[in-house]
Amino acid sequence: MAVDDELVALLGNPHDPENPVGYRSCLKADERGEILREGERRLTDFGLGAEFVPADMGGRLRTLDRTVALLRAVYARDPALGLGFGLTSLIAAVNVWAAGEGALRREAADVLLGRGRIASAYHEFAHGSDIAAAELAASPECGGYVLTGHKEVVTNIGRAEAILVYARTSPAPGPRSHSLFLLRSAELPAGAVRRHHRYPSVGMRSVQLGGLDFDRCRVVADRRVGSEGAGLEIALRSFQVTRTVIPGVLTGILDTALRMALRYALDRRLYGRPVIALPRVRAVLADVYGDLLLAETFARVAVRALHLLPEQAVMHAAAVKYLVPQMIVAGVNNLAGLLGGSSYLREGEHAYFQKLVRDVQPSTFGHASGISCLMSLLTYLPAIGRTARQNRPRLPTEEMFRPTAPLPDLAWERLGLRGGDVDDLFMLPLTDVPLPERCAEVVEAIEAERTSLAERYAGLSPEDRGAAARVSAYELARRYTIVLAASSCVGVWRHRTSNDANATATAGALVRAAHLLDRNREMSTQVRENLLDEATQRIESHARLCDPG
Amino acid sequence: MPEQDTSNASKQTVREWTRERVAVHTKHSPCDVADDVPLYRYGLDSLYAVTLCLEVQERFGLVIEPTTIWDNPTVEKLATFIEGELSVG
Repeated sequence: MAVDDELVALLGNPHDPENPVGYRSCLKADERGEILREGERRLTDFGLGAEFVPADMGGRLRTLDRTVALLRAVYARDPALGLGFGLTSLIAAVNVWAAGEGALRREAADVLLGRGRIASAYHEFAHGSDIAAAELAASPECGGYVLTGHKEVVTNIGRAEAILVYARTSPAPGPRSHSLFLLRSAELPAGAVRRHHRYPSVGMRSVQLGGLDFDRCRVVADRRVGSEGAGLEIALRSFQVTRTVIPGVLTGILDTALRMALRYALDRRLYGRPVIALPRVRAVLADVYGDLLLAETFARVAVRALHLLPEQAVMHAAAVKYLVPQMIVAGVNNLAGLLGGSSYLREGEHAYFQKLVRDVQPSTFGHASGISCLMSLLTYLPAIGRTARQNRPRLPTEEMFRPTAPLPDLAWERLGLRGGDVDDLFMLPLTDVPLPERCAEVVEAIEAERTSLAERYAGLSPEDRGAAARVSAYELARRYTIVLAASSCVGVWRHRTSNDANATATAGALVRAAHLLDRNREMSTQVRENLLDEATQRIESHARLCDPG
Repeated sequence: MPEQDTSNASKQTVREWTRERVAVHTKHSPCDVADDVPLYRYGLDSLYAVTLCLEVQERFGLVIEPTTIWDNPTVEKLATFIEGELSVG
């Protein structure tokens, strides 16, 4: 039994036009810009909120691989439902868990266990991903705080039972000037808070996307999460969890898009033959399947590493949050090209596809933009490079790569900002294990790339850290994320426990990793045909495109 | 091994080293970095604090988190903190 079986059953048959949470109903809600009420009701019945609350507080959150599998299933049905009723509350709650002890832990848990939502109010138009510059002021006054300023484009801010607000508690620049507050929407003083209209957006249209103006809104000191000035630290620690979780959730969008494209290619006839018989179509489908497998494997290994190597999470989180969303958006866009006009129409058999194309776009900029992820990686690469240059590859614990191996509880207190000088995923031995057919040469190229990258990281100049780094430095950081993704695949292959482990999937994923490093490296005909056979067989037998962990 | 000596000369050394690192990272001359001015005024942001942490480890064998630098945000305070840790052993 897969972790998400019960939830998937609760969402019913996606193709049933009468299903109130089928594709047709999701599309209608999107057209009207309305929340999918029945979808939210079913997720509430499932107790999705309890999945975000640690087990020691009465919830069902133990390890995040389960959380990812559940949210991924919702995203595969409707990304807007997954964001509006799910991911947003998790993002907010993780801040409270990362902050440690305090009464607000109980309160956040009770909101989620009581079927409520928490909005996560970080974003201000003027500062984007640069949260250290956030302006909304929480000025200390009479033993409490007075909030003045704006939060903009925040999911559920107008309807959540609780709102986590990131605010400036000191006008001084520097990293100790922000604090977090957990506010109850029902208790906000009338007249001190004004709601914004729903921000019109290209996609995610059935998500409530709002904002708030605070005008001398009084807040008691007990509402502060963590100590005064701890806001940025808590944010940077909890982002390690959410940036690791989100990519694995987003792969659900590409999974659905690829299923739809495969079905389309199998059913549609052009030029006197099924579309899937056209070599160019076969190439696109196989490439995207390889991408999905690579993204999925990297995302899963990153979540396992979060539990097993929490000190390195700050680097893995940035890497996986850069690469996987990038691949997912590109994959959906490429499949749209394959569907042509059918990916553009808002009605008819394939109308759901254009919704996926729109809903997928925020993946690369929502909750940490790709560029800001590469920027944080640049800080860590010089030390990683020096260590990798001076030491032989080494194997981390095999639980990193075995999808069903039990994971330890998340050690929140070990999520640091320091990163350290070792990345075990980057140091993984790659070529000392027998690889699937047609992989050896590809993996040797990836290993050579890693050796050369380690040299170049060690030599990065101080100017190449921070926002003003050169374009070539950002490219070095991008290549790092690809090496980690490829290493994840080799690790999973090395530690496979049964002989039915999928050689086709591993080969497809690794070839695509090599292609991301060198555009001239195309997939061989054999790998392509193997991947397409595998995908077609799975579609026809209603099996999953990626085996559940 | 890091020096365990806590005499004045040694303190000066730690302080000078700290001042020099801040100067390098923020492209100032060491003589332009005052000991009692918050590091962020020179442009040392939260990402540079990570780099400085690793340098502290390489130079003194001390493993610190960037938040230690946030909480000791001047040359004087950081040098005193490092000194204190070294004297504890």
